[in-house]
Amino acid sequence: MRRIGIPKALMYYRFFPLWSAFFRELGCEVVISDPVGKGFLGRQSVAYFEDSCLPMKLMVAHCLDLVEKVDTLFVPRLISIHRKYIMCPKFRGVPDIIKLATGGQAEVMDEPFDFRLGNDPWGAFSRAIGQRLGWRSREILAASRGALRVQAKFEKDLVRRVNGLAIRDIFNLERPTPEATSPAGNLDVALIGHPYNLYDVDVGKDVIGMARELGCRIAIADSLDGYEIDKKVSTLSKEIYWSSGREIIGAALIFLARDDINGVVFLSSFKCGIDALLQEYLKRVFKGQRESIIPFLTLSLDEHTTVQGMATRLEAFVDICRDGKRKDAR
Amino acid sequence: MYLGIDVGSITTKVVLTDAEDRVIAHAYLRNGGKPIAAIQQGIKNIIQQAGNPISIEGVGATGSARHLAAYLVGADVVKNEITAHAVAVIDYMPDVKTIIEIGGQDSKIIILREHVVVDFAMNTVCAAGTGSFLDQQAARLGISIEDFGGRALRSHNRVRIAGRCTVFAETDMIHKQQLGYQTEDIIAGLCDSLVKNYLNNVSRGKEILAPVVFQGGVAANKGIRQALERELGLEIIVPPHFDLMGAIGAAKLARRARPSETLFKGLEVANWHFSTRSFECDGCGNTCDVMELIAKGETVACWGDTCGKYSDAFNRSRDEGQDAVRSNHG
Repeated sequence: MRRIGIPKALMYYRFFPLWSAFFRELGCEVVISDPVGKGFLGRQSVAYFEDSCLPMKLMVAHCLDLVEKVDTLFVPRLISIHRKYIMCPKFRGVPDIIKLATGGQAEVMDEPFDFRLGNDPWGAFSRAIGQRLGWRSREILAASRGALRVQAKFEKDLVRRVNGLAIRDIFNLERPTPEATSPAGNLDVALIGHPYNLYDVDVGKDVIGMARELGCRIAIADSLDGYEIDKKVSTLSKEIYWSSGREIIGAALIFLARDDINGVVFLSSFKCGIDALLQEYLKRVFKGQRESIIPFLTLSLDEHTTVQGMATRLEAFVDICRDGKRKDAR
Repeated sequence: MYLGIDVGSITTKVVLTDAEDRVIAHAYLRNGGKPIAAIQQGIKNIIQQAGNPISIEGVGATGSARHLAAYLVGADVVKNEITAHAVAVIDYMPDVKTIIEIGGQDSKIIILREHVVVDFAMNTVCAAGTGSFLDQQAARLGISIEDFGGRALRSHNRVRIAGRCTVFAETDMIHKQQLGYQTEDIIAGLCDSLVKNYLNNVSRGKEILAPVVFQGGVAANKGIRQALERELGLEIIVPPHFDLMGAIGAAKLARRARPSETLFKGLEVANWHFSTRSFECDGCGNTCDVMELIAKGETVACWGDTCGKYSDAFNRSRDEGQDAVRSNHG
């Protein structure tokens, strides 16, 4: 059985169900990276591109962990995952960075994925991979459709998984989705940011778990309608051409206008160029609406971020949200 | 009576308050790297100052080592320092709109509107302008930290000092000394540049409205106070217990929580012999450092493990132990 390694980093935190279901349908063994130990980042003797964000550095560490365990590393060249807009340009370079870092020790499957092209970009992408693995069109089609169903189900369940499972189990497909729990009198706090900032413990330090511990029910951008987000963003004076940036700004604008959200937290990567711009923009948006105050917090994440620092800020923020909610109730 | 304990990075503050939140006794100590000893000494000082017998109805802990303080003495309320500081100020000055707090290594800004905290920020990447840097520079110039600020007021020709980074600030100060500038002028310049650094880094994008309250240990520094007033063009109010506000807030929160029975272990904790023990857990990839607090040969608190393997087991056995004690008494 062919062993395909999927690094647990970057867009794993969006497409893992799709990717893994597809490979399993085609009879591959899927191996997920699991680098262990404190400071596994520092131990790798890789010349990191120092201007890179932490999630990108983690990608390298995760691939290095897989190199000796698998036949093939699955590192697609993600150019676009949106009909019209593009990913951060660094994603295009990821397969090359990984090839360089792994020194050709494993085959790197780097098929490009561009959602802007053709009628059926996922179909074309999965066909290219399936053929590379030696399968015929019919089997590939069945596998790719099955995988789409798995992904759709997962996306539908995501809010419940975020609110009901420990962070390490959110993307563990063996764990069933818990029933919806909506404890009354709770705070509803929206967490926005790139998915890997939210769900990767090594980046976001489990902000989700901390917020839940403080009595928050979590709202996420994934539960919003993509069309609604696009519509909201298109009202802005300038076009945002990164799909992730659109998602974050759009979600922030939507959550800001909703009465059932008590606060919004933005998780930004310290060295992310997109986040740097979004952060300033969001600050202005939230400041401009000071009267209909909905508390807004930016947490900046990098390898120097400490759990304690995050906890202090989040605790204080939740206190503010709670005061605001009480004030509204009066 | 209520006990408020604020254990910061450099100093420990302990206050004893009455039912009207009036400060009966207080202690302000340098940790000297031994927070446990500092907390114990603080309690001893309070006992001595109060003179009369003390009966504690509730205890609140805050500051970056609030959890340690809570484990040590038994606290009814454990609160982040942002909320604690705000709570302390609101009664002193109900209309406060901005709180500037500069401590040993932390600096923060808290924005209030209509008696409610609506926003805050803490320093992230830079500790320029905080107490420990001023301490260092005072020592280097051979001036006691108490006189440091006063010297700045005597300046007639403020020197411009590079304030973006403390290391460069020091370099620049040395250079200005070598050029023959007066010490007073250099100190005044340093105060100016540190205030600018604070306003650019910590309070960037926040609307600073009067009344502005300035507190934390650095509020004792007249030079910084004056520089803030010059820079903001606003009157800066320094409350009488400016260096104890966190502890006062914690005591106040403990009073408001109205514990039916306080968790306080008693004033005798000041004389107990405490030690700590730590080990690295190898249960999973997290390799947490698990800490144990030991008093009288027994583990009295356990923390640090993300998964709760040790702390949960400890808490369970402790609770069962207490139940057993209770049932024996019953």
